[in-house]
Amino acid sequence: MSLKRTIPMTTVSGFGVSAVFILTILNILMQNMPSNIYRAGDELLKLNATDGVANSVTTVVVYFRGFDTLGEIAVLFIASLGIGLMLTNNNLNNISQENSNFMLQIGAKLLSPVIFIFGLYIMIYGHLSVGGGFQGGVIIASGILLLLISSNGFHISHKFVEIFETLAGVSYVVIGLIGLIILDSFLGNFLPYDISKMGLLLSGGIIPIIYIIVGIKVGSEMSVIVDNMLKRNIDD
Amino acid sequence: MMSSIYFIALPLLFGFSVPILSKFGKNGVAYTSLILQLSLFLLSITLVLDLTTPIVEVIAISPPLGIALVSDNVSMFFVTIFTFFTLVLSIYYMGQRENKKYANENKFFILLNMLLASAIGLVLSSDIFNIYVFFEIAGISSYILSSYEKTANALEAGLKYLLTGAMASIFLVFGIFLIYLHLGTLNLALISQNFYTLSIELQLLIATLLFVGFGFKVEVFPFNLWVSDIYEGSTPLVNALFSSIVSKAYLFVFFHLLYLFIPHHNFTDFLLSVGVISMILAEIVAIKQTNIKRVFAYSSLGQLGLLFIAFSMQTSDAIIAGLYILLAHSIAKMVIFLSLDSIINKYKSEDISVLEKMNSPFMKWILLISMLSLLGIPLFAGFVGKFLILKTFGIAGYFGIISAIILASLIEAIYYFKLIGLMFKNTEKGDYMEISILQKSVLLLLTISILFIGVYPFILSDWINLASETMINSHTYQNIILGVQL
Amino acid sequence: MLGLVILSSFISIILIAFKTIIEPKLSHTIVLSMGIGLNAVILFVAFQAPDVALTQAVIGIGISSVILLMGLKHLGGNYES
Repeated sequence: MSLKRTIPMTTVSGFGVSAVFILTILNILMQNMPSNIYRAGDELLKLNATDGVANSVTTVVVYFRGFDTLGEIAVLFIASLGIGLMLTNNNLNNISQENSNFMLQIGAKLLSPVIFIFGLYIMIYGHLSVGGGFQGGVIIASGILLLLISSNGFHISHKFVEIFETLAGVSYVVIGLIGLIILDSFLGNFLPYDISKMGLLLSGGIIPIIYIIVGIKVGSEMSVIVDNMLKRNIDD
Repeated sequence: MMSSIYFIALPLLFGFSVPILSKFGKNGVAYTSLILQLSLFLLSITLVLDLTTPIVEVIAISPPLGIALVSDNVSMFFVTIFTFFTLVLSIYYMGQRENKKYANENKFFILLNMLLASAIGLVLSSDIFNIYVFFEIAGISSYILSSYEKTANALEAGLKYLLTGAMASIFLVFGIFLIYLHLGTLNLALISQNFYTLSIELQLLIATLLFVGFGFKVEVFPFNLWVSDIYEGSTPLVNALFSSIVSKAYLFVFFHLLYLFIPHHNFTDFLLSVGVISMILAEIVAIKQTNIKRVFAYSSLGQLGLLFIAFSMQTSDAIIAGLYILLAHSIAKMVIFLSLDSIINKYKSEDISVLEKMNSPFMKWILLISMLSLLGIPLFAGFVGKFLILKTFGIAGYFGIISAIILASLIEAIYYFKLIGLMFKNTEKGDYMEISILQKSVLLLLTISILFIGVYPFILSDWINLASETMINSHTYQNIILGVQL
Repeated sequence: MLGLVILSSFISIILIAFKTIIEPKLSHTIVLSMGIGLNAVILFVAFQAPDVALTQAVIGIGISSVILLMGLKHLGGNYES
């Protein structure tokens, strides 16, 4: 088989055009390599020490730029809503009826507790170690995905997930508003945050609380998305 | 306690708490949304009346590092418009709720409030990455809203919007990345202070990336070929939102960034030509359309081109004219799309002949007034802006632009008078159209405001003059942001 | 040693990206893009950004590929691109 047949002409011309384009941009970028400038991020990481949180990335994500995180939660919320809206049909069927692979069933039974514990750990220890709410929530959602594709009997109740989702979303904004009332700044850290307690589970004021809320919200949204995507599979 | 953060926090809170609210009876969500929008409108009015110096709302950490919301004259002008139109739209929807209720009404209210929050966030935010986040929220809610009815057309519209929006995001985020890489900050004031230190080709690259990113959303010439499909696919109620709120928010952000980053007139000629091309092209295409939504979609594109011309001049007189046009266009398009919603629901047709069939003297006159206002006939709101813009360009000596604007108005007149002729034709009419009191009062309020602004435009002149001064003056903006300490 | 790891990840990212574009089967494309993500994880760890690496591993490789695959299944299985 010649190369010409496997690679269509459009791909080649696409490569050509984008190569010229990228080379032009790269040329501009290479000529203007930034010198060692001091960025806002460095400043923020330095400031972290005043907040008593061991993982400085968490402070930046949850506290200094907490408003962006709230916005991203809103993005995820709307995306999940949209998927639910687009994929909901009147004849909603549950997941496929045929039995899944035996290996998959046993493997899921063995693995899912580990995945859940790992997700919870990542979520709760977000202010002390690597990761946090986003990652932990998604890990939990992937554990739920594993259960959904492996066992027939398992299904998640949307009403039940909705409770978590609602409570998490509402309490995020409410914590922000409490900060506005007490400290005159939205998402202000109104709980005590002792620097001497840095490294303990209970430290950093509202930061770990917000990250756990983010984790619950992300986990429930992702589970609903995955469930919606799986459910429709049968009727087409 | 007054704070501009409520404009964003409360709609988000509402969106998140809808599952609880839906437990309080059938109307719980709808009435809460209405109350929320009413209180946001009242809040914006109070803030505007109290506004002597710009208020900077700090979030968590003071500005050069953290995010801050700036409410000055121009941003509050936009916020007031947005809250007002959302409120009007909600009331109108409540009026037709008995007859035609949306299938998933709660989700419609969530999306409406999210769109409001993100439009306000785009206008208020002083942090470029925060602007990107709101850009995404506004984008995703608009994609879903445009395919809300799940017909084939609507789904096509949503998909098109999604693809173009994703393209726009890529360009925008790359531009933001370059800014952060070279300037080390995301704060608009600091970027504005230091943007000139970048080398000229880098400035050009960043400006191009931002222009492409926002160009898709502002709906200017090379990037607006898809817009009419979206207007055709989605319901007129959603079109009213897009035309009066969303595109205006993007337009403001684009020019706000332009004035802050490139205060010199380097790109004026380029932007003016973009505006002229998109205006003339849209108006020419509009003549041939037979679908009524498409006609008004192209007319919106034409008006956006005119706005683009006005704002690209980068002088305070031109901005005053632009703000008048923007206000008049928003009100008129709101009236037109809201009444189209009822008309299309009633007669089940989207062809322009539906205006011939329409049997409702009230609608007829309302539509007549708003179309005349869009044309810029004296004594209607649209006249002030068009007059001022012609005057500004006349003084500056841009006679090519003046002739282009007049040409576009003439082409506009052709198809508007065609529509008006259809409405007043003495032919067989369809069934009489019932309009509920609520809907009538909303349309009447908007129409009266068109006439009022047309007859007595000077009631707004103080506010609009202050707004344009604030918008053009990048030094004041830098000082108020960088002077804040928490 | 670290330099070698970084270099090999860079090279394999570029190679896999080429393969991803010319691959005719969409499902294979998705799996290959997971390969790009995996190399990105190695790079993030090498550049001392464990948070970003974890995020990339969980979101970029894990759930987003799964969602893409499910979306592909909605379209009706193994489409040729």
